[in-house]
Amino acid sequence: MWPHVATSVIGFWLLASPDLLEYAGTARMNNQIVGAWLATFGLIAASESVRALRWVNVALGTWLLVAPFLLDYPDERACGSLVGGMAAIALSSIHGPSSERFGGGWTALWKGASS
Amino acid sequence: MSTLFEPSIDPATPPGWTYNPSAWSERLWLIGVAILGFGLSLYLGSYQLGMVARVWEPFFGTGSEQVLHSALSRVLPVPDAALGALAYAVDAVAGTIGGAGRWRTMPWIVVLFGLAVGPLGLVSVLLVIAQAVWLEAWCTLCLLSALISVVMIGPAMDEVLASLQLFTRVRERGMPLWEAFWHGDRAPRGKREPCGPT
Repeated sequence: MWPHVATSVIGFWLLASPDLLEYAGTARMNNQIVGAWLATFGLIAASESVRALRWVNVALGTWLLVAPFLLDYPDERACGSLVGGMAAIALSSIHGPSSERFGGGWTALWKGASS
Repeated sequence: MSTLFEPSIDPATPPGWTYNPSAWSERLWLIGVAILGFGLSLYLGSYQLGMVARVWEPFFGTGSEQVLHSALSRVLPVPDAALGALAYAVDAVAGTIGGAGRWRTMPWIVVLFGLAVGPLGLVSVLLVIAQAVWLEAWCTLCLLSALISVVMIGPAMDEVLASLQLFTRVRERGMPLWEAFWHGDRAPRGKREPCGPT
């Protein structure tokens, strides 16, 4: 649970940092859009039954690593994106301990019931 | 596998599960949070309709006013917070209806609950992005409402999963899905899936 809550904290930071650190432009827009979704999927993936949604945050983290270069802001505004992206990938790669079982989970819906 | 000696195993636990996602202990706090979101949205909606003169905003100055009176909030004939209140009301009602085995006995309400909770949360995130990127203004209570709606998604989805797995088993047995959707599992008595006290 905690790695995904931690990822959502990174998301909240990316959402708030343009106002706190006073930067604008594409960097601001990208960080706020990606930050909002990072926070959302971190909070959702904290629930064990939908833990698989952490992979969305691995993808978003990967985007944060390349965005400053693709969207052309390879300056100090890229720091938050790069550090946040690496941390999001690392944290979201962790499944975390399983305490419950879910009858085969979501994959049981197309692989057939477990029982 | 659970042993015979395992204490207090819920009789409505779905096959292959370690707990019952429809248990009241799983649902009550979600209902409470939905009611909180409902009250918040009702307050913001009454401000948008002019029934309340001022809106509480501790951090962002005129941010709440800018957000709540923005062009985006008036795209639809009713203010967006009023729609939010309606969505939270559906969440609270759909969270309440049905007993502790409702993933099996009333799958339709579980699916409705999931459909109400999921999209409400995702629309809230889009509204937060609109505040940040387009309006460049923040509204404390709108953010709180968005947080509430997102926090509800994960804990609501386990019950939906249990009902969808039931549909998979019903289909494998060659039973009519439509029937199972509305009336739950209708296997002969004794072959029915677990169902707790309702």
